[in-house]
Amino acid sequence: MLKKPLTIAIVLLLLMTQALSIHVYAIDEIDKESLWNKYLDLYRRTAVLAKRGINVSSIVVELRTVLELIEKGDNDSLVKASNLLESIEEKVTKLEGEADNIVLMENLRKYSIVAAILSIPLLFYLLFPRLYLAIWFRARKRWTVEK
Amino acid sequence: MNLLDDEVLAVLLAIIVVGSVFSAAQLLRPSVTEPFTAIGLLNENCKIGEYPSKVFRGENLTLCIYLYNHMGYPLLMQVRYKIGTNTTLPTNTTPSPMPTLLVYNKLLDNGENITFHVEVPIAVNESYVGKRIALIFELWIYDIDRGEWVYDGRWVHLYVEVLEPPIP
Repeated sequence: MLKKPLTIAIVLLLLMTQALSIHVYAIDEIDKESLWNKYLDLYRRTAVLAKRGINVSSIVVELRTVLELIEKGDNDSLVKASNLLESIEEKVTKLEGEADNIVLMENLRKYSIVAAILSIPLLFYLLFPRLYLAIWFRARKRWTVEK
Repeated sequence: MNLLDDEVLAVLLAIIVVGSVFSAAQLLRPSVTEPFTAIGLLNENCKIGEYPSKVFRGENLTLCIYLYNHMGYPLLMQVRYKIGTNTTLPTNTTPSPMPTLLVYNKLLDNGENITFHVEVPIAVNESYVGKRIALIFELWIYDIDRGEWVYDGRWVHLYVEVLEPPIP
């Protein structure tokens, strides 16, 4: 007597489990097209930063990994790619916010070094004779002059 | 030698002036003065030479592609594989009119190069048996200003003679 309802209950349970797993899979399903568009957008933003002279080599390495994951194409890879793109987007957005300061500091550093290098001849002209004489006298300070 | 002698000092100063101006110029010049990209076709061992000259219709041929980026910024490059003849080769300005059979995407940072294997199908019909075809690899780059793929004007091709596959 109890066998029939039990069987129905088990079948229903199995069907529900299956439906749930399909549903979960649908949530995890990543749209490859939108992922690719996001990738292209992040690449464009990274290239613009690089053109401004900002070091983006670590981002490029991550974008390369994402490209490989997207080309693999399976759902796991696409999920990983999507997660990586999120973290890359954060880094790119942060860099974009700091870009002006980074460029300014980089220019300051570069032109300071250039100014220092160009001042070497002037410093040499002004200081070398004095330094040379100072060393010359120090080396001979115990010397006595004979008639 | 008296280092404080006028002539000696002048020579020393001249050497230092030239050296410092040269060093400053090195720092001020742009890192990439002549941007370019490069694509190369290598054999299955990723070496130049000993390319296959005869292929079976329908087989998958293994070759190697070399890419180099010297544009001054990271470049998203795409290699498009096409099969054509001597009349449908690309030019410096236009890609081949033949359909794209395979696409390879690579991201290269400035100054980087990459060599990778490709397995390309000899997808031609029977009418090409005994004839010479060109395996074409075109270089396309993603234009960040236009937001689309553009033909870079560089390509490599390999002429091969198509043979009927042996009967198993």
